[in-house]
Amino acid sequence: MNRSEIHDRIAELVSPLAKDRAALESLTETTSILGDLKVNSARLVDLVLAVEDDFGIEVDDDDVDKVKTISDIVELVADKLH
Amino acid sequence: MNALPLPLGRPVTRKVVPPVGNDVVDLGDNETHLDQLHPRFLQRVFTKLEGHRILSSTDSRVSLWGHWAAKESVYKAARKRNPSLPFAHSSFVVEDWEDVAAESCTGRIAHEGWDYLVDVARTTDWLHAVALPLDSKREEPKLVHGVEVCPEELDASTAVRLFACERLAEELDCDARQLTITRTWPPLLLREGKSTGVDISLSHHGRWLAFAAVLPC
Repeated sequence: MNRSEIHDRIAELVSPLAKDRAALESLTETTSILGDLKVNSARLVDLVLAVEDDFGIEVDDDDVDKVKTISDIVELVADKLH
Repeated sequence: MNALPLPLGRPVTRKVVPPVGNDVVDLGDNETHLDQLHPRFLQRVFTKLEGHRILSSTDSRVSLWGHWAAKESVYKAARKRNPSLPFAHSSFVVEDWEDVAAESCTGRIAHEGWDYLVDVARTTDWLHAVALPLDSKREEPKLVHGVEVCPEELDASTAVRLFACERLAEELDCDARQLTITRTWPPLLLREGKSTGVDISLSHHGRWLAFAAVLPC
């Protein structure tokens, strides 16, 4: 799975959790998950769990703490997959 | 708003302000319903004992968010001592917990050698946790905290700062327009651009804004 495919799948997973729909419509690699999409910290846990299920990976708490943007989570998944 | 000494406060060193943390949960938000959470949410965030306590509570939804807010509030306080602290929810273990189905309860969280006392208050609309370290070398700190509905015309980040400034102006006996709260981590309360020495924590969720602050002795 290439980076673009991971990005698209992350966008699908984050969609039901994002409260700022306008930010979701204009999603880019630099979009902040908490700040721009207004995903709260509890829903960030849900997103991580969904990512684990979807990609068949495990994400530890230290990795979660580094996830600020869409790019961060795409990078994290890409590292785990390869 | 309340201006109460911490119930279990102990003697403190003069002018040393303990770090405070707070977290508010909008219980009217659909996101707080248990069926909205990922099936492994409980397992990921809570210890087995916490999970058992939550599921055996008379109100599991409120108990879950009470535990969550307790962990969040302690994390916010602890991160002021260790800015690089990662938020590993399950490492913040809630102990000595009373059932939050009541209007208020307390719990204790030990983390990195520090003990924190968490007070959780709730109504049918919201739940608010305030955490302070239990430190035998400290005096009883003056704790001020409040919960307020977020005005629709303001973004929550701006609104919570205005709300806290208004309430703290009463405590500091000044005009609220003299006070500002920075958008830094941690947030700083300034009076005409100068430090006040007040330790402050801000939170918002859904319709609700909340803050907690400790004033210098």
